[in-house]
Parts: sequence; structure tokens; C-alpha cells
Amino acid sequence: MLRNLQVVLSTLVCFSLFANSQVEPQVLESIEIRAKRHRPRSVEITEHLSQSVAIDVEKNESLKQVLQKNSSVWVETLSQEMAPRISLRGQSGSENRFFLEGVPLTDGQFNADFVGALPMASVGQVDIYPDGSPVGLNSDGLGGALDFQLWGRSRSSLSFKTGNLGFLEAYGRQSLGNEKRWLVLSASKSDENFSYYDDGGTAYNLSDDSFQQRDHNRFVKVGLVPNLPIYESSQFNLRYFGFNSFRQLEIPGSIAVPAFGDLRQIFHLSALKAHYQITPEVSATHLFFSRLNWERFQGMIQSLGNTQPEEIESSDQVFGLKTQLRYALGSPTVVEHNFSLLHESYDKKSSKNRGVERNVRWDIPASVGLKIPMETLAVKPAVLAQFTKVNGAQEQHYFLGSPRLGMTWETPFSIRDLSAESSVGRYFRVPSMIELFGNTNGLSPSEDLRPEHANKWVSSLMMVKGLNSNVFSKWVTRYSFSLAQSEDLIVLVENSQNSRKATNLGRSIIQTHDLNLEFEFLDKFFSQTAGVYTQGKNLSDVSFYSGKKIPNLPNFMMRQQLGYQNSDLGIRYQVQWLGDRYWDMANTKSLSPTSEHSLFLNWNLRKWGFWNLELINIFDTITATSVVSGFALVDNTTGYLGYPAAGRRIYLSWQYEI
Amino acid sequence: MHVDNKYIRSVYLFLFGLGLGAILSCSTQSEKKQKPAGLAKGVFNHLLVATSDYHSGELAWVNLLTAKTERLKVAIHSDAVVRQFLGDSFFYVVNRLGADNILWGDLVTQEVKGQHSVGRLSNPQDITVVNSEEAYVTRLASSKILKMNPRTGAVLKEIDPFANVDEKTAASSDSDGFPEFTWMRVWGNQLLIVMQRLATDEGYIPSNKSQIAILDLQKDSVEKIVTLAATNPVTEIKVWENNLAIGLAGKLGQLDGGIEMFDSELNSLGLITTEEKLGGDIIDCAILSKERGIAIVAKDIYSSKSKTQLVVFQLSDGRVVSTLKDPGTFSLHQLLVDPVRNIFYVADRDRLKPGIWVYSSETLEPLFLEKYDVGLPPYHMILVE
Repeated sequence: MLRNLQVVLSTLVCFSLFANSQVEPQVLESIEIRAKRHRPRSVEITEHLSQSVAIDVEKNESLKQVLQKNSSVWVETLSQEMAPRISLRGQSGSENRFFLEGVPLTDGQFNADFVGALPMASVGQVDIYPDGSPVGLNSDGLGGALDFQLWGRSRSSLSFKTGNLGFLEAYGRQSLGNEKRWLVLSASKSDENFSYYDDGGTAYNLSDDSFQQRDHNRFVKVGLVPNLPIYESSQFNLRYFGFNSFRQLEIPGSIAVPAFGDLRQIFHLSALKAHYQITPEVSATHLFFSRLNWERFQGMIQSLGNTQPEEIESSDQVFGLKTQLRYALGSPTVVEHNFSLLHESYDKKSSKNRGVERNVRWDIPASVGLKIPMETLAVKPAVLAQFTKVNGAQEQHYFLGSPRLGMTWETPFSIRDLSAESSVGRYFRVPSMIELFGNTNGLSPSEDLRPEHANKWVSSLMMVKGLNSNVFSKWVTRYSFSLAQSEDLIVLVENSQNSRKATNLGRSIIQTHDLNLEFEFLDKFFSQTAGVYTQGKNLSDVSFYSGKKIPNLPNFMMRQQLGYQNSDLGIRYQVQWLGDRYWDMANTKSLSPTSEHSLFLNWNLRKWGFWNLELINIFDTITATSVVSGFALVDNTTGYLGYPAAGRRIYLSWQYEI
Repeated sequence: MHVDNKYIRSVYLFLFGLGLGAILSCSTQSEKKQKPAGLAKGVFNHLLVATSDYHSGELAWVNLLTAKTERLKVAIHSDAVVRQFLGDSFFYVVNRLGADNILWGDLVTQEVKGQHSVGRLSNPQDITVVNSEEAYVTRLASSKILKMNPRTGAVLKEIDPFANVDEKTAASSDSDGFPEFTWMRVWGNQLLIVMQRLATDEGYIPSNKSQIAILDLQKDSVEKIVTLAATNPVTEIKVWENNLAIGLAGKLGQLDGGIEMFDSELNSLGLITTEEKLGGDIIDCAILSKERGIAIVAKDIYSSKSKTQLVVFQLSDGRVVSTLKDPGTFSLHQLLVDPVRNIFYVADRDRLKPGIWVYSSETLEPLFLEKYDVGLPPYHMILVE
């Protein structure tokens, strides 16, 4: 604990020194409010199809609003009150990898991410890799990746946001000397206690159903994000960035069992990023980071056949080094080498077991990627190899490889607006330490666990066309087809009423069709239709799961947005449909299709600031019909399986640029 | 001598056909042996099974005469046991912790007739229906036995098991205040109610004693409490001829339990075998004859290599004579004896292919090489008409 405090204090001291120093940047660029779409900032040579969305300051939009503009991204939750659930092109959210400017935000201990701790006011752009985590990010993972980018430049501003369920957020962004050097301080709270429809466990007997109060659901968070360029020249840039967060949240547990707890979390990330343009053809980027997550949980802990009060204190500390070398190998081929070294140590102490339990993990991923342009075609072969060593109850080693091939193609002449992209590869994920060694909270050890693998193929066709019609001014169409065949998927299987065990049970095949259609018409109006049709099948060896549909994977997701945006006023209506889906692997419980209507309004009142109103889930789909073993029930867990959550959300925010 | 090619060809064809026929007939014979086939008619001709993967629960129905299995369209909890009582065409499902209710329905139409809460988080364990208006329900997290109307759910009475017994019998080192009522069995005019007496607030460890409360069905009160020879009774009360037997697991991971036998007057005949002799923690047991019994035992229960075994033991000295099944995983779960057919069923919760094995009580050989496939892993099975 003392060592952790030392790290936090030393970083804060360093930060204050940086904040007070007045290093003038040597290169001044124009203010970039909108980042270019489809051009990610972090990785340019990528075997994967990549897209990017940027936050527009003047619209004062939330990150969820911005992400939903991308047809491949389906955000179920992205708030600070609960763990975010983001699905990329229908893939399971738990398979995604998250990064902050290349720094991994997903741990090797729980395979859990720290996105919930990130103060979203500091994010200016998100690079989206719906098809897979590219070798440039140098990480394992079967799903896609999101790389959050901090604001490149930022003016000083002040913002307040309020909403229902006691939500209140305030943040200030202060530029320190110039717009590239800034600091964000944010504080937020909410009171998620709400009433919900409870069937009392007797779904067939409606007479004892009632509205219950969902208590133990409050939340407070304070965040601090510094972004401090230390040195900048035309050849060499050195920058410090990081984020610090303190959260205290009540965890109500599942509705059936009176398990609840109080979690305190201190999160700290410090990163030094250096970019050296050695020659016009050769560049190197180095990243050194340290990440600390300290948590204390007081509450009811599940153990074999029991639920009992306990206090658990844990700290997860990662030191990482990432280096990237990029050079031209004869014109015009470009080569990129990536190498990382990550050391993670996880300490845990519980009130029942006084001794400190320590798990240590080393990850050494290395990758190479090439971009070979050939007139209208660019071929991008890449390979990632990773060595992982984990020390827990026993030592485990993994050495895994992931070959990939990406291609882009642009049509010449008259149909030059048409482009095609394709990638194929074999991916892996190393089991997390908790999957291997279990925990005292109802997870049994599973030391023979194998890594997960997936073979994926994605092809996309895209057309962007400016139209000379009086009505339509722009037309964008994108169609993607992906096929993912996964094997040895790690599934947490219940091995008793109160305990589970990670098991290599899963084999699945998922086929996805993703269509996006955008129009700009009558100058200021726009329409976006996005649809994902998914066919997923469980090919597990388990007789009672084989041939069944994959749980929590709707067969279709569709989103229609219609709006108007001029320089001062924007209004957008969104309706999102989610197809029926199963809750369970055995496919005995299904949830009917749901629709969610939302309305967003942004208004630039010039000297009175930027205003934004969000009405999310206006008609409140907190309850929906579900079918269990052929019997229709009213279920209160729409969208949040086994966890009732308030449906309708209303937020009003105001931002003022100083 | 010239032999016509046609003749040779037809001889070859004949021999080929003969061989093929023999192979096919052999394979048909072995197939008959492999897949479960219909059994002779008995008193009970069906198995009703509560199945669960601990996430989803279903009811399955095995027709023993045709060997056909069917999944009933009834939503049950992932932690549930099932009951049916002679002369009644209804089934009763005890939905345990998290659902905490009794569900009842018609076996013929598969229609759910009602569902009644027995108290949020009370963790019901078993139900005994004595007539259409009276039933007893045991709850793990309650200090009283619930008497209710099984059809309407109306609470008739709550019975304190220690109201009529001396302090010494009632006292226990069980710190949570609940006697942990679990399984029940009607024995003449008495209802036997198992009291595990665990410290649920300390990891479900057994206290210094476990007991059976004997409830007089006419007086509607507990008249006597029998203290068991070891702690932590985990099995149902098994009947063999006029004797009763119960499996006592003691502390899990320690070989401190055994199987206790009682005569028809409920006098203890002591432990007929011990966990030490059986070589593992008792999961379930049954008595097959005067000479032998069977038990499912768990080995290395807290290690990642934990597994269950089906063993046969001698009643004379309690020693294991053979291991009938050793799947190498923690999958064998329940034993059910069908005395009329002289067979027994073994619920196998195998991770990949679960089902129900059928064994001859006489030869101790499986009747079929394959199991009854009941969909999800079988959790609790009963014999019904």
C-alpha cells in the first residue's frame, strides 16, 4: 500500500512540476476541432479496417452519442456508473480490447477493462477497429479494439451536466500556457436507486408481483487528466499524459441474493510517449507507462455454498514498455515493428485470509506489419507473436502466434469513389489469471485452461459519393461481411449453485452482415441507417449447448438516425431495434425484440455556451416480454441481464469555452 | 471344367450378402444394447427429472416403457427438486434459493397450476403433500417448518421443532439460529425431517450434531428428535425393506462421515460404513440387498482434480468391494432404486454428455451402454406412475 501511495504522490509531484513549467511548443498548428473520419491517429499501417470518430466541441456531445454515429459500434452502456458494454459489429463486448493512446486499459488479471474509470471529458477522438485489434496495438484478443485519443489541443472550458437519478457532473478543462498543454478535472455523482418491477420469484403467479426499490446503487467519482507536452520539435516530441480517478460506488449485487457491497477504487495511469522522426522515411515511437489500480471491497462475498461478509483489498500494478519502429523498405513499401514488455503484479488481501496473495504475469508481444502499395491495391501482411508467463498457484507459459493479411483496393477512373478492404487472420487470447487460478469469490481454479483462438475473415465495400442533385448532396454506403470461427472459447461454467469454473467449452461460428447507409440532403439534413444481421451458432462439444444460438447475441440490430444540423442548432432522432435473443447457453430463456427511441438536441448559444439535451430511451423499455421454456413472462432486466436498471435517461449539459 | 462366370458371380454375391447380413445383424444387436430400450411394466413407469446446468432449469420426463425422453414446457429454477405423490396427478417443484417458491402443475397436460412464494430467500428444500389441502415445506433459512395449502399457497401453520423437546437436544453449536431443515420422508403416521444443523454463516460447516425431527402427523407437532451418529446428512432418507438409511458427509474434505441405518422403529443401527472405508465424501447412497449397498463418493473435493466414483460396499463390514463407475470428473450426482424392476438409476452430470445410467441391482452391470438423454444435466430424479 505504501509503495502504491509513493507512486501516486511522485506522479502528482511530477505533474505539478510539468504544469508549472512553461515549455513553449516549437510547432504551432491550426486548431483541429473535427478529426478526419476513417483516419485513425494512432496506427496508420494496419491490416484491419479502421474507422475513427471525433468529438465536436460545439455540439457538446457525450462519448456515447459520438460512438453511435459509427455503424459498427453498438453501445449498450457507456456511463461512469457501471462497466461499459460496447459491442463491435455484433461481437461479444468482453472480447474487445481498450486502449488510451496505445496504453492497454484491459488487464491480464481479470480480462476486465478500466474504461469506466476514464474521465470521458478528456477524450477527443476514438479510433475504432471493429474487426480486430491491429498488430500496431500489439495485444492479444479475439474481438475488436477501441483506442481512445486525448484532445490534441484544447481550449479552457467549463461544463456542467445534470440528469435524472441524481446525476450530476462538472468538469473544467484548463489549458496551461497553450492549447496543447491542458488539464481536465472532473467530478460526478449519481444515485441509481430506482423502483423496478419484481415478480417475487414467482413468475407464474402475478398476484405477488410488486414494485421494489433498488437500493445500494450510489456512485461518486473524481478524475484528473493531465496532457503535458515536454518537448516538441519537427523531429522529436516527448509528451506526458495519464489519468487519475477515484471512485466510490455501491454495488447492489443480483436481485435474488442480498449481496451488496461498497467499492472504493483509486486508479492511476502515467505515460511518457516519445516520437522521433529520424529521417523522412524512418520514425520511432516509444511509450513507457505505469498503471495502478487499487480497490477495497467491503460486502457479501460468494464462496462454496455460502455468501458471507468480507473485506478484500487488492492492487494491480503494471509497468509497460512499447516501442514501434517504422521505415520505408524501398519505396513505397513501409514496415512497422512493434515490441512490448509488460509486467503485471496483483496483490490481494482479505479479511478472512490475512496473508497477501500475489500473482505475477509477464507479457512480451512482438509484431511486424508491412504495407505494400501496388497501384490501386495495397497488401498488408502482419504477424503478432506473444510470450506470456504467469505465476500463481503454479507457473504457466504460453507462446502464441497470429498471422494476418489485410488488403485495400481503390477503383480507378470513373468509379474511384468505390473502395474495398479485406482482412483474414488467426487470433488468440491468453487466459486471464483469474480464469487460471480462480478466486475466493466462487471461481474454482482451472489450471489446464488453453488459450482461445479464432479465425476471422472480413471484407468491406465502401462508396462515398458527392451528388450534384438539388436534394441529395452526399451519399455514403458501406457493407461488410465477416465470418469468425472461434475455438476453445473460455466460458465460465457453473459447477455448483454458488461457484463457477473457467472451461474451454466454446466453439462457435458467427456470420455478420453490416450495412451502413448515409445521406446528406437538403443541405443540412442527414440520415443514417445502420443494420447488423448476425447468425451465430454454438458448436460446443457439450451436448445440451451444441447447435444452440449464442446467448445475448441478437439476430439483428438496427439503428435509424434522422437529423438536422446547422452551425448553431442540431436535432437528431434515433431509434434502435434489437432482435430477440437468448439469455442462456441452453436457450431456454429468450427475450423479445426491444426498441429504444432517443432524441438529442445541441444548441450553440455563442456567448451563453454550448447546450446539449439527451433524452435516451424515451419510452422506457425497462420491462419486456421474455419466454422461459415456452412460457411468456414479464421481465425487468431488458438489456442488463440479471440486473435491473433504470431505462429512461435524461441529461442536460452546458459547456462554456473560456 | 468350365464354370460360368455368371455362376461364380452369383456365388460371390450370395456370400457377400450373407456376410453383410451377418454384420448388419450384429451391429443391430449391439445397437440394441447401446441405446436405452423400453423396460418391463412396473409400478412406476416414468422418471420425472429436474435438470439444470446451474444457470437454466428444466423438467424432463422419461417414459421407461418406451425409453422416450421429453422436455416439459415448464419454467423451473436452476436449483430445484421435484416431487410427486401417489394418487395425485400433480407434480411439485421446490424452487430453491433465489426463486424461493413451490410450483405445482398437471403431469398429464404439463400445465402449471400455481406457484407460491414461501418467503424471499428462505431457501426451500423439500415438500411433502399429505393431502390436497395440507403440505409441509422445509426451508434452509428458517427456524420453523412451514405447513401450507399446496394449491392455494395459504400458510396454515409454522411449527417449531424444538417446542416439545429438552434443552440439551435442542442446543447446538450451530451459530446461525436455523436448524437447516432439508429432506423429508413420510414413515407411517410420522414425517421424518432432516436437520443438518450447519453454521451457514461460517461456510456451511457442520456443528456438533445433526438430527432428524420426527413429526407426528396427527398431532401436527414434533414429538421426538433423533441425533445422528455423524454430522451433515446430505442424502435423502433411503428405504430398504423396513429399514432406513441416510448418508452423512461430515465436514467436506474430511473422511468423518458414513451411512447410518435405522430399523422400522427408528432405532439407530449405527454406521454401516464410514467415509474412510468408502474413500471419499458421501454424495448419495442406496441399499440394494442384505449384502450390499452403493454410494457415490467425492474424492479431493477442493482440488481442481476432484472427481466422483460409484462404489459398491458390503453391509457386513462396510468395505468397498468394487468401483462400478469412475468417470474421472465430478459428475455422478444421485442414485435412485427401482425395487420392482431390481434396477437403479444413476444421474450423471457429465460436462459434455450428461444423462441417466440404468444398472441392474443384481448383476451390477449397466443395462445399456448409453444414457437416457434428458437435455440439461439431471439434478434430481424421482419415479412416478
